[in-house]
Amino acid sequence: MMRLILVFLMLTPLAVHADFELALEPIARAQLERIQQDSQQPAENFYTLDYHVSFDIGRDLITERVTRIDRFASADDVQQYGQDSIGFDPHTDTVKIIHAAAISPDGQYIQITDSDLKVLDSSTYDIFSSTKELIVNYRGMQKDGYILLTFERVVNRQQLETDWLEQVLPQTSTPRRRFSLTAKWQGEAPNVSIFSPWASCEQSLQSLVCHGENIPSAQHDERWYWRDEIGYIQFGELTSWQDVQQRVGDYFKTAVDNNGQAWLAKILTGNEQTLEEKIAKVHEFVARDIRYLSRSEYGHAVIPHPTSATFASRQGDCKDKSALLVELLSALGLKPYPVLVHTEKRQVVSERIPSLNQFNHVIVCFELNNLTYCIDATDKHTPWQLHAQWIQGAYALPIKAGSEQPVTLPIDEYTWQRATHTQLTFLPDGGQREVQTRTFKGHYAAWLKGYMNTTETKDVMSWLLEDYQSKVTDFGEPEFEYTGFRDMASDVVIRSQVTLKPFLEVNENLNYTEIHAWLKSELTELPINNKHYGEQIGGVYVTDVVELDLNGLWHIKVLPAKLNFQHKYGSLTRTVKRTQNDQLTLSVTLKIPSRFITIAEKESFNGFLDALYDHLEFSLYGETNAPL
Amino acid sequence: MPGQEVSSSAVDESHPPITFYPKRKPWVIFLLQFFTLGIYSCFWFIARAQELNRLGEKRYTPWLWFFVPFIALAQLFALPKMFGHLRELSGNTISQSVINGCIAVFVLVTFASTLERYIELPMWSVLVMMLVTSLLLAIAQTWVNRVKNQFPEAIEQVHIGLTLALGALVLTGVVGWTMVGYGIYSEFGDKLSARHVSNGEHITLEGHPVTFAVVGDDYAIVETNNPDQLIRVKGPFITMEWYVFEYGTNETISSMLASRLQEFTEAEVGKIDCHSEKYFKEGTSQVIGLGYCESEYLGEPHIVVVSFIYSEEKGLYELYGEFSTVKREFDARKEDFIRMARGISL
Repeated sequence: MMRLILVFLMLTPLAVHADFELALEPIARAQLERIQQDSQQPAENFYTLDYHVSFDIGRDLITERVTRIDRFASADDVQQYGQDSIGFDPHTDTVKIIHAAAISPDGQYIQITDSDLKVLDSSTYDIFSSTKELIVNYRGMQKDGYILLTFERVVNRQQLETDWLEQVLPQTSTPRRRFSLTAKWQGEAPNVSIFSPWASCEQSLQSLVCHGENIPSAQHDERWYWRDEIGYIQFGELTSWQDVQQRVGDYFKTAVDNNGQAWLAKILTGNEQTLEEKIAKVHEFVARDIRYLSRSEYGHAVIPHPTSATFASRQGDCKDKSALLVELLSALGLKPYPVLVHTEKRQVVSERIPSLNQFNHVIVCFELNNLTYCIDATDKHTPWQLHAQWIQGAYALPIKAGSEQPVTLPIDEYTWQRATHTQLTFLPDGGQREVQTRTFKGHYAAWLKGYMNTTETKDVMSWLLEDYQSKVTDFGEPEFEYTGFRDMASDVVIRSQVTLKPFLEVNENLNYTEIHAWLKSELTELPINNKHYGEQIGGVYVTDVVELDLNGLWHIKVLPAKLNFQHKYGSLTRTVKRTQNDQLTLSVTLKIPSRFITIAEKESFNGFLDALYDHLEFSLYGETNAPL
Repeated sequence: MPGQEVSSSAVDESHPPITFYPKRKPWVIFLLQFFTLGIYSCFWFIARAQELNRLGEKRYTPWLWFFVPFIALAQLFALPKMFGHLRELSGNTISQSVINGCIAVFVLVTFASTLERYIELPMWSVLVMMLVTSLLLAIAQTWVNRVKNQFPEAIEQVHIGLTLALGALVLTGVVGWTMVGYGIYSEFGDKLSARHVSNGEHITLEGHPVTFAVVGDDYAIVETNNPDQLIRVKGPFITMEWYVFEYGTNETISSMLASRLQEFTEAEVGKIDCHSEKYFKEGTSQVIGLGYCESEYLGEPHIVVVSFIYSEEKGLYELYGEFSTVKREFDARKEDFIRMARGISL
């Protein structure tokens, strides 16, 4: 039975701003009736009742119109979703709000006013850009109510800095009852890719219509790349990756100023004898002496600034640093090339439409002695011989002849490498003296350098102590010393010495059990916690040598067990060597190569880790040398 | 008779009377030799050497004869000398062929018993060898008696102390035979009701998830009287046995492995060499803890092997095995024995 719908129309004046236009129209009766009908059913959670997007793709202008009706099941939903954000670039886009209203379950609605809108810069601390956000704040929202938003964004294709790409997600992080998309175009058809199981589409010569119903929310996970997992519908203007490579290649050529040799003369100190040393120096200059600052305003959102400007200002973002690096490496006689990267995509999906917008980062690669090296000029701590850890396996497009398709960047077999050497001497009072050296290599060292270079020494010392006491023992307070964190190429070495309080009776036989504590902490980082998606794990290569000296207090009767755990996921081995009656050396090696663990393998992989975790201790039995 | 000195009652100044140990019935010699596990023959030969020395003509060094029963090579020279001398003294009434035959059998049996240091012989063969040597010694005693009959003037005298010593020897022999008897019973008795298992066969336990594979031949599942043992499996040697124990979910592989090795070490007074290792059962994340200790037991190498396997649902199980044998056999069997422990599975 239809209820009488009470509609309070607000006469809102047409408001025109520099960045957007508020041109409210009365809400159509059909929409209100749909809301009224929907409100008959109780809602348990937030959902989108309707989502419709239409594109009118012209030669010069593209008009996108979005209509969305959301329902709020609780006061928490009202708090969490009671605001919208519409991104746009005023250089290329105009935005018009047509409906923006809070609607009560009984059909009354209140449209926003001019004061409910605010335009914000989307810039953050070291990123300047022209992109803005139009914040829509709904007034009069209430529990179990709805909001209706209709807006139109017109994109001027001629003003775009790069190619045009639109992406619509039929499935998002909240459920949708109804989804529809319509697109029409005149003249040349856009490149269209439909890659979602939640939308059924029909495409004709000049239009595309898609529809979906009862689309559940996408399954989130602890560690996942949603851009790889959630389906999409993409429109774009480019038809091949070569088009992208051509454009980016042109951008870099334009940016390079051919001052490389002169700059090299300033950068190199003369102590660099080999090409490798010169590369290291150039890398260090670009990564550390050029401050990261993204000046991605209109005109330089994707096009690097001239290298001379970057060199002179000593500042730039990934593309600026990369352009400078390309110029400097070229001056060293190498043939560097940029590689576009998306830092949050890990899968090569052929359905992605060729576009520069598929990427959000750029690095520089080159070949030397038949090996490919890739430098992330924004990474201040990873040596040039290693691929930056955070983009390993990332979706990438080399701007290089012969690379016709996107690839994924290489992944090191062992990302996290560490070696620990411990001398443990038993003392006559029943305590122990421990002298330990931990050597962190490669990415592990880079990670520590990032922390140690930005943290006061006393805070680093506190962290080292806390870390030691939580993972090894709180029977003593070690003195620490750490080195190697300034230099990009060097290992980070942490040395510690500690005398542990007495806890053993030297007059009795020794029943001693100890754990390889640092190995244990390493293993705690590895389990897969995802529920729905597979996960890439970074390889671990850790060695732990323990020299035990019973100091003549006991003689060893039973040695610790050897370990020989071999598995398809990795290995843990321990050799045991008695060097004297009261001395022995344990050498432990944990090797778990990088690999992608599918969700089906999760249980098996975690079971492997659990088994290793449970057998990291060692037991020793010795007879006392004290007179009985 | 060893240790039973005889003195002359009628003293002749120019030709002192010959003294012999008392004559023994051959069946008594048979029993003495048999029940003293062959040790009696050592003394028998010394006594005969002493008696023959008193008859002159050939010289004997009595103490050397103590070792004759153990050394086949020595027998090849010593036995023809003594038995030939007896034949001469008997007036060649003893058949040379019989003497040669007895010597050959004696040497053969001694050689076979020497081999036992290198080859594990079944317990029944010990019995056969004892019977044969006892018989041979009884035959030799008939020859001795025949010679003694040639000297009717000879005086016989019993030595009380040595007789008592002989009694003690017999008593020891009886204990020894009890042990041999038990061994034979174990070897045959257990296996009479046993279920034989062949090389490679997986042994499963009713009501328990643990299994293990047999490595080697002549294994059999036998009854156990120990309620803690879920199963008892005997190997080809009397000392070779396997047991399975269950510990539930409160114990861990690490704690039990360390505890077992400590227990073995503490129990051993001599040199003991222990090793332990933990590894995954091939292709799985199932951890197996293996430990073994090598030592010596009654002069022979001895090994005890344990392997543990655990799962949260099924608990902890132990496969325990040990054996001791002559070195050559030990070295040949050890790796298979350890391999059998590795084969534990849940």
